Amino acid sequence: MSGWHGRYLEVDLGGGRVQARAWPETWGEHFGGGSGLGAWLVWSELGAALPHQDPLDASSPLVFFTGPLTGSGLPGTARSVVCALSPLTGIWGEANAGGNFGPVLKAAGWDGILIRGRAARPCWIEVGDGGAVMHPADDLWGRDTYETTAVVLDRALRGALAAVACIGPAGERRAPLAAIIHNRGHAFGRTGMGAVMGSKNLKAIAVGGRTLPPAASPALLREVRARMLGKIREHIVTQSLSFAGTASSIDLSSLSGDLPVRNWTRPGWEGAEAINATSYESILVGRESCFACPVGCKRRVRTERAEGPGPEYETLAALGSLLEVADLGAIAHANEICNRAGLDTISLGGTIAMATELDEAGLLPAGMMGSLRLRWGDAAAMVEAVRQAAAGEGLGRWLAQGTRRLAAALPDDEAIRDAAVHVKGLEVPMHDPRVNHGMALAYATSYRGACHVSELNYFLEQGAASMPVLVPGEPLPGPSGEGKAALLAAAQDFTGLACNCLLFCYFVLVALDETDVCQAVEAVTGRPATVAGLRETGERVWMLKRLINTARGVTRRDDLLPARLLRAFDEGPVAGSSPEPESMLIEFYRLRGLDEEGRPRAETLARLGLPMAGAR
Amino acid sequence: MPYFKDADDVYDLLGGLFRQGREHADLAPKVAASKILIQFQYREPEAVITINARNPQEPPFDVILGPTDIKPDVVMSMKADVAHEFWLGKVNLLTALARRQIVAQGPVSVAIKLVPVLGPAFSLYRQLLEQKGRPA
Repeated sequence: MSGWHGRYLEVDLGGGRVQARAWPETWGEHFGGGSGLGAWLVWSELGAALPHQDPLDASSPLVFFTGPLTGSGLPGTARSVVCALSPLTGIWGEANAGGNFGPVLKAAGWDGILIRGRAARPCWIEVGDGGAVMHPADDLWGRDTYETTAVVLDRALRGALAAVACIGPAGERRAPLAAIIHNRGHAFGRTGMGAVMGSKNLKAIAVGGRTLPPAASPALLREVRARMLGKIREHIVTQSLSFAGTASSIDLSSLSGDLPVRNWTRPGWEGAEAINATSYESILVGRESCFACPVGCKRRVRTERAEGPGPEYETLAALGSLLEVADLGAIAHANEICNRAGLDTISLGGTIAMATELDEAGLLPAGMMGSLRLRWGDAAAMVEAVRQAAAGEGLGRWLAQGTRRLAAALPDDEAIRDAAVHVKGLEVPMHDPRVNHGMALAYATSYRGACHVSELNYFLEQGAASMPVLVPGEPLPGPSGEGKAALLAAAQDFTGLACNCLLFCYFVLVALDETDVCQAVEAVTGRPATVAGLRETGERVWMLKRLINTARGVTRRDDLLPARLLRAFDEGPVAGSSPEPESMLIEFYRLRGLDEEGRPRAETLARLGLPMAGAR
Repeated sequence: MPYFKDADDVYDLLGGLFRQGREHADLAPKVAASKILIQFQYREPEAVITINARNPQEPPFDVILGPTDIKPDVVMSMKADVAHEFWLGKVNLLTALARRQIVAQGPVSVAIKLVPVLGPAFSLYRQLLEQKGRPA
């Protein structure tokens, strides 16, 4: 079982028990790894309780998992994933992050950790090759993630390579937007995984070890690695990321109309230059890489009020352009507040944008707002809103719950519903689907709600990434639905598997193709890997997550985009462009083997070897 | 059928775009501030245009039509038709670079720093074509 240890840790926080669990090699073949295995574990763990399970109940499992390539030393394979039912959306939740948590977890001798139960008192877990030890965390409860990381690293695994994933005060409060933060700047950001960790009274996990499983074919691994490094050096996207970090996307996004402005209501914004890569140089003090990554897209910044990991593209847009805040210092400050508290900047930015729009229109009650006044372009108000969300004060209590809950707390009003820009409860990330209509379908059908990284559709659709076997020919026109259902299905299957199960970094994958992925799997696992075989594995994983969501009540009526994103602008780079997700959705369901209501058909499940709905 | 008749046609239109850019209130100071020294090498028909904002003889920047001894920091090579489509705003820069319709030699930082000037340049090019009675 090359690439894996063939075992994961099972931690019962309620009973204080830790057990090693062996897992069969067939699971790796069927589900790839990462969130594929996570989905299988959650599905199996919850059994008949799945449809009505409270994500924050003690019996809900929380799974950390690696991929087969994690720790192999191949570029872009540093990521690990956290999975659970999402307290934000109520459906399948997962979030992955880079850094070194995954490789070090694997070096500790474990492929993953399954956590269930709730500790009687706050605790943290120390994971090494001998298993896991629970420690009291009463003195850590209430501390932010930067402090917690420093303290836990100091206490844990002295002398060993160590990594920490922890929650901040937002997770302790079980805020639905709570993230898990690894080594200060790497966020398991989306779908509220921090709240699940908080619900278990689990403050932190420290991992340490030095025993990575050997690759099946070291010679092939060297060959694949050398080829990948060459491609990464040559590709414009990885070059740009290396040179200027993810902020390099601000100008291009602004130019194409991809950058959302004023809660998705404006086609452009003159302030974009204040938050672009050139402006970023004024706060830049260094760059960082994930484990074994040659790109180094992470940035360290220093301002009067922030020092450490800098804001990335999604944060620059969510707390910048979306609110018309042209103040990089304020965004860096707000980013650090979010990192310390453990909050998802995308969802929080989306919710503040909604609140700003409603406050400007006088639609937020005074009792909810307190003394805070939100206005477009008001950097100080944005930072104060973020601070309140982090502290659980005032309007921040609502902001930390996301757009859907904020809307539900207000009178039933068309303007309020319209301002809540989410899919299935997950706020839309910072890429406007009016530019590339396939993104409308991607947002509508992602298993975790509006998501731009469930697969590589964003880069494949515009032709910046190339998967010549799956997506031959020239790129399809962006503002059109033609051919987009087939493109997305292929992207969800193959690149979804690559990003979320094999756990390739999304950005590194842009420079690679199907052959690289297949040979990487072969080199590490020793199993022959074909494009068709990996695609089928990816399809199985996508369908399993869809099956979980179906059990949670998701139907066609949930596979919708917010009406706001379907309205064409009168001017700007995408003037007149309006996605038509309905027609794409019909074709997508047909290709996917879903029925008219979006449920997996029995024959589809049988073909993929998945259990029938309701049968376990 | 190629859009440009010959090299002179390229210099008239694409060169004209850059020359008009020298007078543009938004574009000119941004290019000047970039201190850029960039050369565009076109094929079908062959033509060369160099922008020198590093040490211009005529600020804010020089537009040199034809071969020159000045050594650029970055060279962007493409078919002249791709350039025409690009300045009309019809070519995604990222896609063109990834698919090597446009080949950049030199530090990618230069290309990134140029992106903010593209928006106003797109409008300028359309105006120029209109002035000259040329179709878009």
